Amino acid sequence: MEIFMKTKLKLLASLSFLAFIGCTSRADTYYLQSTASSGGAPYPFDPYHGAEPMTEIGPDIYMVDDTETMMFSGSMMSADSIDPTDPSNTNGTFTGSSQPANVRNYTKYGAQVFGFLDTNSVLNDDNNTNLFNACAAINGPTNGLPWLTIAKYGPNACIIRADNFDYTQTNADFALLICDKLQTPTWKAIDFGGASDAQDGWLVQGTVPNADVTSPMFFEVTNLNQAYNAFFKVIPYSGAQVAIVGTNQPFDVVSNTIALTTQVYDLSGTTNEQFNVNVDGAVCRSHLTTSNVFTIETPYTPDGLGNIFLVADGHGSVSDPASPPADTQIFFEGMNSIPLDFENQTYLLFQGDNASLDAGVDYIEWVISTPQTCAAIISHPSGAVVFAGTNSFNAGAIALPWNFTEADGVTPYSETTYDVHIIAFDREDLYLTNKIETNGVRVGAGTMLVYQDEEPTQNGAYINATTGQAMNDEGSFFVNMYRSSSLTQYSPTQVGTNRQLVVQLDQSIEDPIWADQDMLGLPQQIQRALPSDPNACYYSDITIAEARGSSTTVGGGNYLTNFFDNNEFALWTARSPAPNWRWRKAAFWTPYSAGAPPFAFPDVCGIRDTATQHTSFIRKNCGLFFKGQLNLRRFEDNSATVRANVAESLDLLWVCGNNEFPGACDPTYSWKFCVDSTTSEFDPQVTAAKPLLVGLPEMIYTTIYDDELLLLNYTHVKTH
Amino acid sequence: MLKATMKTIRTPVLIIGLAALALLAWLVWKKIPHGPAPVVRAAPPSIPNVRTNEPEQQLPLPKGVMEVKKIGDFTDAERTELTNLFNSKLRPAAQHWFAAYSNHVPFNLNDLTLDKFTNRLGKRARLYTFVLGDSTLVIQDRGDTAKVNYMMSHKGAVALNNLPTTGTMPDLSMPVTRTEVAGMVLADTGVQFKPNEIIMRPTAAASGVNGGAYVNMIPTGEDPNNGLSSKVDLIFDAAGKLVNYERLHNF
Repeated sequence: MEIFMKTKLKLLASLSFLAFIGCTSRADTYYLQSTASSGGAPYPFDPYHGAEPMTEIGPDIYMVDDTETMMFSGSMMSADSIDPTDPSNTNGTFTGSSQPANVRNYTKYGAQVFGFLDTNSVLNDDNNTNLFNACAAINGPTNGLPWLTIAKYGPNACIIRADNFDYTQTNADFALLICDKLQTPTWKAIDFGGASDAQDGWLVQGTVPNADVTSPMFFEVTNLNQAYNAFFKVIPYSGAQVAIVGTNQPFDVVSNTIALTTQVYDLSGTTNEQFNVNVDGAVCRSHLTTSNVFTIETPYTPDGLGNIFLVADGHGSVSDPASPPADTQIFFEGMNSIPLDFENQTYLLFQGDNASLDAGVDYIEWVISTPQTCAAIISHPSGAVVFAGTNSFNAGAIALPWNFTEADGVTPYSETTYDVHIIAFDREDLYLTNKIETNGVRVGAGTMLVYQDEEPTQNGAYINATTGQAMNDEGSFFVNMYRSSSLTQYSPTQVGTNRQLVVQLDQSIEDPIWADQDMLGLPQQIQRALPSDPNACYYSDITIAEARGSSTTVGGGNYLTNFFDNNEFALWTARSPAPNWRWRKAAFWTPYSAGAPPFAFPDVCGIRDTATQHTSFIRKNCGLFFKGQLNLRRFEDNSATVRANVAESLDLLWVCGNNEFPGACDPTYSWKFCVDSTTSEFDPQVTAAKPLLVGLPEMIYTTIYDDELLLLNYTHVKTH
Repeated sequence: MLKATMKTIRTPVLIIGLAALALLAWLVWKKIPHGPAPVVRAAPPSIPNVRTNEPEQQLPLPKGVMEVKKIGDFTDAERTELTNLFNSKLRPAAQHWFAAYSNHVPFNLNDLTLDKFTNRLGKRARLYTFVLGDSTLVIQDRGDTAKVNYMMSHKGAVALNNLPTTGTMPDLSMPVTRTEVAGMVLADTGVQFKPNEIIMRPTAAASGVNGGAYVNMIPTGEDPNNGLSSKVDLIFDAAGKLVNYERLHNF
């Protein structure tokens, strides 16, 4: 037995771990872990007859774990017996008796860092011949199957080679998963009540965007936690799998309150899954009961065909919150929808929620299907009535205007919420609680241009120089905005005042401004007030044109490790001198900056979703973020074009419009037009990064029509 | 030397002269629109303090501007090329689009002539803009294909943007059905959208225009709150005429 074990261990000393996906074979197929490295032939049955643990690695395809346990130990990756009395642990330092406490996999692997290696760049840009040679020394499989081959690299890292993964038939990304036990199921049923949080299992160590999947690929995982076993495998993954089941079928006619049962599956290590229910993006009145059952009060949604969306966001990646890895997706989102035909005798058409006092008058609109008498009461949360009225109406929509005053019609209403009770006598009443916007959008002013230096290797030096040029170029453009010799030749009557203000904040090795607390540091600049008006923000727009980042951070990486996270940014932004703290425009050209609600960068920038902005009298704003990885350069199929060039082009197009030449600029082109045109110019790279256009697509650069946009009036939005 | 200078400054004539200069500078300063001095940390651009009577030289264009080619900037050879492109690709693309939306388009195909061309935006985006009366039509040349990607009727847009009138009941009817829209978009793009992928809202729900429709074509599985999910946006007025059409460049 001992000899057999040692033989087995020698075979496994250079372990290759196989993972298989996407197989279309219908017959069951069994691979043995012990022969994986040598491309052992598959079995049509389990040769161990169930005596060894197995895991499904593809449809009807199983990996039989006949190697006992594999682990990282000591200075090399090896396979070791879990029997502490077995004397064969020659390759490592594992001692079963001192195995550390079984903490969550998040904690076990949280400090490990994943890197997707561009071997050309490793050799030519980074001059890292050791790493290049280590990659070159790993032989790929010869059997044409999808394989992961793992090799030790240095004392605390491993290199993984991935071959033959074909992602052309899926939109999901390539996800390298990690777990402490091979037999752990990949997926688990998520309970939004939290009951499933206790189950631990597979998490994402790293991802490769779908469009970048090729063969072979090389990954580096550093800072390995060698106190625990670690298994890797690959699946196509883009977030939770969401299903809406139950009695309702697509296109059913529904009314009153309905219940939707949902099933959500996510990686078995995911916890604290968040959810959102909406109807075509708009808030609907829903409640979570038990066992992932949602009730939806359909009279609060306009009649007609609508899609009920369930969106689930999970923290599926191993990462250390205190030191999150750069260029890494931390949150993953899954969604599904069911189309239903809403048909109610009386329903809410326009809630009037979130209206700004600047609107002067808010409207609440509802629809009745038969002629009848209706009553409406507006009151304080305490119940004190400020308006009450009754009238007879024909069938159709009824609009109730309210000018934010008390019962006398003159005294301003002083609270931030109010209740509305609508009584249509042929059905149940409608009850609303509306908020009044008290923290609106920054009044249009200056622009912040933020960027981070790359390590000045051959590649990095070029990126830094080009980015610096682009930002200087854009800075000058803003500074000269009102000059008669400039490209724009604008006056304040055309674009508003203070639009020429600009600051460039370069996070460099010499001047790491993101950490500075002085006046020129990022926090202070975000909170800066206009000298002429201490209650107004100096900057209303922000462009982060180039930086490392993740779902929760901007900055960081191996070179300039300093970063700020979404919470810090939220604090800096919310501490603005004005109650209107929300950014008017934010463009974060950083990887995965779309994050996950409720504290994703779009949220902490104060940009409300498109459906809300389209249906409320609130101050409008807009943004651009990314759900995927972003190139540092090679936009426009041109290696000379860096990310900051694209960011600059978008900003200029928004300011100048379709006719970007002196004397013809027009600041009324919509955000959507500018984003789409810029994307068109620099695709396919921008689209591959999964851009997320948030807020009002019709938002325009000039501030002089902000009062129109507030009231959903797009008269002066040119869009083209 | 210092004493001599001080004596000179004390002379009344110079004081008056300096005051006049200060007044002049203040007048010039007041005339220039500006706000507080910008803070520019890295390589601050040079900013002149005052404007002189000499006309300023045109500042160099920022490198980030997308290439805009006005009709007046086309060389003879380029005009010939443009004419060929118009006849071979742009006009056929417009014909295809007109056929799809037929009587919903607020102008005639015959109105689309090369003299309505105003400019081309982008080296790779290649958006050709035509202005026909109060309507704008943009056709994109993507090399192997050309397609209409934008139309806007300014008059219709203005009409759409009135607030609901107090005391009147909005008309929530819509001038087109999902089936009709699906047919139009299929003929235009070749993509058959399912009924639930066609998001339709009455214009009266958020504006003073009764009887119109906002339409967004959002494929199943795409986030309705991502402004780039809607592949085709359509707005119809009460008469069923298109007020706005917008198609994403990569759809």
